[in-house]
Amino acid sequence: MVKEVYVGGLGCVSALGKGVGIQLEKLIAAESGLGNLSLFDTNHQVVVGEVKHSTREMADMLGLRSDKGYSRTTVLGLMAAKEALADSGVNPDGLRIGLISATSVGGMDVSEVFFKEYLKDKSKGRLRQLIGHDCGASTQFMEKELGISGFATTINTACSSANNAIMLGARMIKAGLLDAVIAGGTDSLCRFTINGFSSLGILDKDVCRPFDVSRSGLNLGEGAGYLFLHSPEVKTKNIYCSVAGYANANDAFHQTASSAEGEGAYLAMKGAIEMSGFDRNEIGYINVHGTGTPNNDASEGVAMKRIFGDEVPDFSSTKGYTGHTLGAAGGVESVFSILSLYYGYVWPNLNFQNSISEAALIPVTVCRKKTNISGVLTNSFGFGGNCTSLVFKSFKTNKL
Amino acid sequence: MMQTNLYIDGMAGIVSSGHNGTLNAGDEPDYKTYIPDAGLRRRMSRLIKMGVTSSLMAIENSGEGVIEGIITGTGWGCLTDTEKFLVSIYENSERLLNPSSFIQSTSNTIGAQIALMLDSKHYNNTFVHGGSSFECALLDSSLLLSEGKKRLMVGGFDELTPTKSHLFSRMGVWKKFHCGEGAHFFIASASKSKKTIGKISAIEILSKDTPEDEIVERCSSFLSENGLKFSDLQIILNGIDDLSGCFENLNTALLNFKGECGEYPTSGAYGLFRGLNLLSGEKDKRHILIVNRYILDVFTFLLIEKV
Repeated sequence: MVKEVYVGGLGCVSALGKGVGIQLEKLIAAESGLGNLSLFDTNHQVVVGEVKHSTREMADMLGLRSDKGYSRTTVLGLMAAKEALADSGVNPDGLRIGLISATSVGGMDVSEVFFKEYLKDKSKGRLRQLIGHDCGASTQFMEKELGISGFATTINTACSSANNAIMLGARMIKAGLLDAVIAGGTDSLCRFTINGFSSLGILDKDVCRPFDVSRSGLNLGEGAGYLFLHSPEVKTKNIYCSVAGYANANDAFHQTASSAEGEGAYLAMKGAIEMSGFDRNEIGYINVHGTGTPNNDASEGVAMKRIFGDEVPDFSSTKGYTGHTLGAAGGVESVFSILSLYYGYVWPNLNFQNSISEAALIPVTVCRKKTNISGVLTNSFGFGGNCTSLVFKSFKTNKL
Repeated sequence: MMQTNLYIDGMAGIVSSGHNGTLNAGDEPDYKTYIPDAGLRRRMSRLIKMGVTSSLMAIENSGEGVIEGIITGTGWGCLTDTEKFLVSIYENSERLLNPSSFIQSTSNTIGAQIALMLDSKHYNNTFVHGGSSFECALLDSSLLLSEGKKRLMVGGFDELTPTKSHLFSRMGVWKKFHCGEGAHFFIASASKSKKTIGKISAIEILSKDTPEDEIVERCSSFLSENGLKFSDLQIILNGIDDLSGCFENLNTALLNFKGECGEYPTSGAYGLFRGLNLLSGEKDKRHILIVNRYILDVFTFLLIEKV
């Protein structure tokens, strides 16, 4: 049994830009990536966190063949996963490296184009466009492009997907099944989710205001975030931290809504902290799920109060930077949490003014330097009551 | 190859197969018995009803006991609801859409619905990796048991919708393959009990690029890694019609099961169900090898045994 699982590489693309460096820069500058939707036409008035490159442009940057169509989810995922692998400095040859990827929309952006034609005439629509529809197809393509073959799988537990991918990656390394795992998630904006969240009445027409009393919904985002997880035997250029705790629990309350007492969130946070061995007051920063919907933030806030009492650590939702990237959220936000831990900052919760009544909590509102953080917690919760929390622990000896 | 310790205490399933993209009427349970709430039943797609019902039937089969995790696999996901919502976007020009089908379109709907019905706040995960979705769910389950959980529910399910069937016939899939769909659930424990039907001892997932003519050889090494030869097997359950000729030459009993369940990404769950039902526990021939592949996806091997 491997005792510790390290994070030796990071990769991220979001509305803040392409690459981990630009994420860090914009997080420090408190500069949001939210704006108008330009990727496709819709009747909805929405604010989104869009990656400012077309799918074709990104495919070209990655050197992918130009005669093939790629789903946006695949291209975003490959971009971030490649960065994480390169950042580790590891040569995959001879190592058992797995890819555990999360996605909730898969190739939906391309399937939508197909369906529009198909609905008019059942003999129309380019069948090749459907090849990438299944969630697993993006992972299989990424695995091949990354040149790894240890193991591959895809997880979809809606908005908690990527945290589950990271958790499974850590567990497989601990069990000795793999030497390293590229784990995280990817999701692109598409009509399906914009219309879906709009039909639920939980899209804010303005910028989202997580944990603010005036919050009225989320902004959708897109992107990808991956971690290069490895056993101590695999030598990487750098070690950012270790994966010290994780827990997956179900709220078992409602298909889409969270319970008032935040039972699922409570169990996930509690489980992850207990496993990490940290005392509750040793958690230096929490990257909360904080979507900006009235229900999520109230429920998550109550769960935090249940765990931390009156001493809730510095926390923020970074959805005001990137929007809610759905199946990728746990990947993107794990990267943000690790950047907090590694570089010693707490990220501001953009657009916050007044705290909510259910849990009078005040998030971090300005970017602040905070050295000596020893542990950070990150939450991702999804439809179906799926809640997963992760705790990352600093790897001090390597920091100086 | 991963060695596993999954003792199956209960199982149940619903399956149907057919030809040329049309399913024969399969044996379906009376969903009312398992989902008495008429409103809830009406909102559920066929796949959700099949999945939830087979999970409850598996519990019935296994007897009482706490379920400490629900792990599911589905390659296609909740297609009916996905199609329904996608069509409504275009037909209603994005206006006044009913969110029900959006809510039920995510692949974790069934695992979540089961958690709701059982009030299970435990581990809950869903794999969506094409033809190895179910096998990945088994792998996760095996890890969970080795980490200390005692009893889990693991299932695989996919539905063939009229649209999927039509698109596959346009692609020419049904010229070569049987169509099918199914939902199967298993109650897995960390140790043997009076209820144990059989044990899953090892799992292998091979790349979809593995040449088909190497599969028999790869089966042979999979068996030898587990201390076995083909002649030690009670029977081989083969889900790859193209390979039936190769397996016939081995002088081991053979059952080609794909005609019974058809092609769907989690057809491996049917293979497992079929295999566990066949385990005879004959002396010296306690093992069954299940070989499967969903269309052109990865190859999967399961080794099960009577314990």
